Amino acid sequence: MKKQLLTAVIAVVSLCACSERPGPSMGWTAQNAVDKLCGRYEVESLTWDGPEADINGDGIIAPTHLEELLQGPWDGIQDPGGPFVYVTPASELGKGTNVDAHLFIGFIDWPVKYSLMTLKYEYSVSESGEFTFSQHHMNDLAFTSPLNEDHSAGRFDGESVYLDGDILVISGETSFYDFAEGKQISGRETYRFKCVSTKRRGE
Amino acid sequence: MKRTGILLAFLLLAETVFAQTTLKEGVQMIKDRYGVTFIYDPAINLDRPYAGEKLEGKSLQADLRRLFAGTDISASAKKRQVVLKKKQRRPRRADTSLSEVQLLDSALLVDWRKPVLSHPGAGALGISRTTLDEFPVVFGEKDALKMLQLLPGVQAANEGFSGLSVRGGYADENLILLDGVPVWQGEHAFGLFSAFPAEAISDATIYKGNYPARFGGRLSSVVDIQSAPGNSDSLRWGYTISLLADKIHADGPLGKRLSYSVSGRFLHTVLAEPVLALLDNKLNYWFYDVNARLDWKAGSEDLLYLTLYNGTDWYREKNTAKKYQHTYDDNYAAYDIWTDDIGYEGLEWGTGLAALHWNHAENGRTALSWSRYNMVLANNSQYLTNDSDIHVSKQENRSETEAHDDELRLSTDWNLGPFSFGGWASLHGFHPGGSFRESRLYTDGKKDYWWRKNYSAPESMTAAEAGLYAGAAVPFGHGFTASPGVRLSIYGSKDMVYVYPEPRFDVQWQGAGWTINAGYSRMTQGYHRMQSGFTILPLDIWRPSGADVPPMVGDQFSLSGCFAGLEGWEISAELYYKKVHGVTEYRNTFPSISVDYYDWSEMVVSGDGTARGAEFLIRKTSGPLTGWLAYTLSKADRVFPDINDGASFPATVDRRHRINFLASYKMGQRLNMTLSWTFASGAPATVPERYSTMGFYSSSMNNFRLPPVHRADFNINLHSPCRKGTRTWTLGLYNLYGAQNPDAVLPVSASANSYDTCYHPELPEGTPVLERWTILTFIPTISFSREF
Repeated sequence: MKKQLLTAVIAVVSLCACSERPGPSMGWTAQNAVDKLCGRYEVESLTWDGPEADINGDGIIAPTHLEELLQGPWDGIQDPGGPFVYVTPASELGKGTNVDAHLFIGFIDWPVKYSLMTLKYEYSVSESGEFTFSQHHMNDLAFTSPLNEDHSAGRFDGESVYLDGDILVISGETSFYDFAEGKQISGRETYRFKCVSTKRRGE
Repeated sequence: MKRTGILLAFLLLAETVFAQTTLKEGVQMIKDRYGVTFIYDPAINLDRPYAGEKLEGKSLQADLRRLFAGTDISASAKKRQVVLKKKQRRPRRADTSLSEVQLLDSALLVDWRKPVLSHPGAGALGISRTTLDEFPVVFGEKDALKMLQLLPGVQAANEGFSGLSVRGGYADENLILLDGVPVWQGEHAFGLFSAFPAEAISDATIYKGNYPARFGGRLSSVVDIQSAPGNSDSLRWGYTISLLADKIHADGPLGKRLSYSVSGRFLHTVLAEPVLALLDNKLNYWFYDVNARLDWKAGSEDLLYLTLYNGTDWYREKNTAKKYQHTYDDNYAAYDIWTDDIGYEGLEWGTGLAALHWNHAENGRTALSWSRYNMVLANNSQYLTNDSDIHVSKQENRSETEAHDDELRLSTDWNLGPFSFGGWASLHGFHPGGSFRESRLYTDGKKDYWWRKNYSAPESMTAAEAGLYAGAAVPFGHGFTASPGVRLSIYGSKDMVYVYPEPRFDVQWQGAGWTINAGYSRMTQGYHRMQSGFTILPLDIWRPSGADVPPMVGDQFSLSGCFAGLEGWEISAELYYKKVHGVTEYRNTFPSISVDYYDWSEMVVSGDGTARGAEFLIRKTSGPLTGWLAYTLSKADRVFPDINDGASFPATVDRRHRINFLASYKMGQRLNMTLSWTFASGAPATVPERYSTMGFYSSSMNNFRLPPVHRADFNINLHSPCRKGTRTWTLGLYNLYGAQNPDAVLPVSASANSYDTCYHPELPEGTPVLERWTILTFIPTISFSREF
């Protein structure tokens, strides 16, 4: 009788004590992959395979495409510090999660004022930690031509987003207006972003 | 040694004396010892010498066996009654003659002393404990208030619930008295059960009209419940186990002058609570009540007794959730938070009562009493947060709303020959819902944060009530009795004092088996019970009359005739007309009060009402088959200047026809069956027109008539004597044929979401509708009782 009672007590206590601690719904493998992916990314390099051009209308052609863009002029006093990307942590498997890419992709005023415009991408994660990126439908931005407002002066077709190791690559066919030549030029921009978030608590 | 010798000599002498006594004296001795009543045909001769062994008093059954051993008399005991009959040679089937069977039955039943229903006067009907034991029950609980609902002129305020509606009156217009002390909240389980288990009471009488001058304070009825008195003979006890509740009762002497009676009842769920809590069961409900009475015979003519009652209902809902959150800081550093959420909602309410009574002979009764109704609505929540096993914090939130009412009352009633007089005074404190909310946060075991806010309670109110009465019963002429009386009621609150003389008059003629009564009564009521839902709820609040809402006044005329000239039968009819003033309804026609609402008088309007009706009752009072058939034809209207543009509308309890049938059949001493059937026309209800944040609204009250209600109940009691005492199995079927009666009718907003209880995809979202719920359908019950 004593033994039975003891067994019952142990069983009840065990039931209470062994209540399972919940974990991430997507599983630890996927969660760890997401933890690694998410964060703030800053541009490491920008390549342009189009012709060298005076894109910002300052009469000077900078040594690199990135410098040409970084020299502005900017929208008002805004100086965003260069292109960057925020990758939002995914919370569910297979669910589209934001990749907000802030890129030089637009004139917002004529004669020339640049702004970092946000392009929305999405990614989803699988249980094994594989990512799938999809292009956002709003990424095909048309720029107004300074010569003919009725015609498109260029566009950014950011159709390619992928990971190259730890580097997030965003690439797209782009059109610009070359003030030096007075004509529209086009080429492929490839942004390579590196995560700059320290991912250490309390910093 | 000398004392022992004297004692032995005394015992020897006593035994010798007893050995020479008669059966009749033995019967008397058993009556005195066990407090039982003997029922027997006068033809049975008890004046015979008894030469058996000494009655040792071990048990009733043992003493009965000894007393009648070797005689031609058999004795069978059922509860407090012992039936004696002559032993007869069991006739062979061929020998059985009708006359023999009839003779045996009449010998047994002519003297059956407790009729199912007593008729103490015009407008009054009484039920005894015996009747309660045989009455069909719901959930195995015998219920005096539900029994009263089967009487003419009385109905359930809500079908299936304990609240009473008497002659067009609302549930709050009934004065429930326990040994003369008002009980303000006399229900359990939201009105499903009354607060008085059958074991705790000896009888209950309802006065519907022709009120004696000593009763007052409510408009429609007085239910006078007498508690079970102490037993000065020997210890008796018993228990009952039913589907829902367990009960225990004991009474007995405490010395020569003291005796007690105590009974308790509790739901099984109270025992299960520790297990349910361990298993994280979401909700539980239980109630208990304890009735106790202590009698002290202070002298040959004086009895002092203390009545105690405490009943508490308790409901809790516990929601627990273990949550996990994987989150990030500003540097996208990932970390885990585990949270244990424990939400607890509890509602506890109950009534306590203590009364000290002094009865002087049959002439005087004085009582000092205190009663309290208490309600606590509590809401607690606790959040335990574990941040990646580094930091542990605990947040505790607590809120409580509390309300209580207290009454201190002194009353005295005296009779001097044909005259009766008395008075009463009471102080009633209403302390509506003050509340507080507080929050505590502990981080890593240290108190990090504490916050508390008290929400000031609405102003407490004190109301006083006092008065005097005098009455008389003066015979005159040939068979006439005039019973004039007057009652002076004074109601006082902070802002107003009301004084009402209440004349009462009844004239009665008796002769040739007939009793004719004609009477007039004025009743007043200085308190209003604000209902918070479709039935009696613990959140209902009582409020005293004041300058804004005056007391209610009712005048009732009645004429009744009763014929009892046919042996074993009684036929009665009663006509009544009642006019009431100052009755209240909700301004927007739907109950919307809350316990902490400040200015309740803004929510109600006062108006007038009329009720008229005819009640017929045919009773069979003797024989193996007893019972009654009652029919009530009635109409009850209300007229309020602020409702329905001043047009008359039916009262919420208005039902045109009501039929109550009850038959109780005894098959010997071991078996009795009871069948009841009730039918009532549909009650009116209000279909809401719109819903806003203030609640439902309709411009016309009681604009819809619900379908009729009807049901049959069946009960069977199987008694069997044991070596000590008796045991009884009770099998019951409530709502025998599963009638789908509208037990609750609630205004709801239609929802297109199938998860919602008010799912009505055919209606536009949010459309107010009246939804009917059937709660009490076919319910079988079983219970087991054992008495020692």
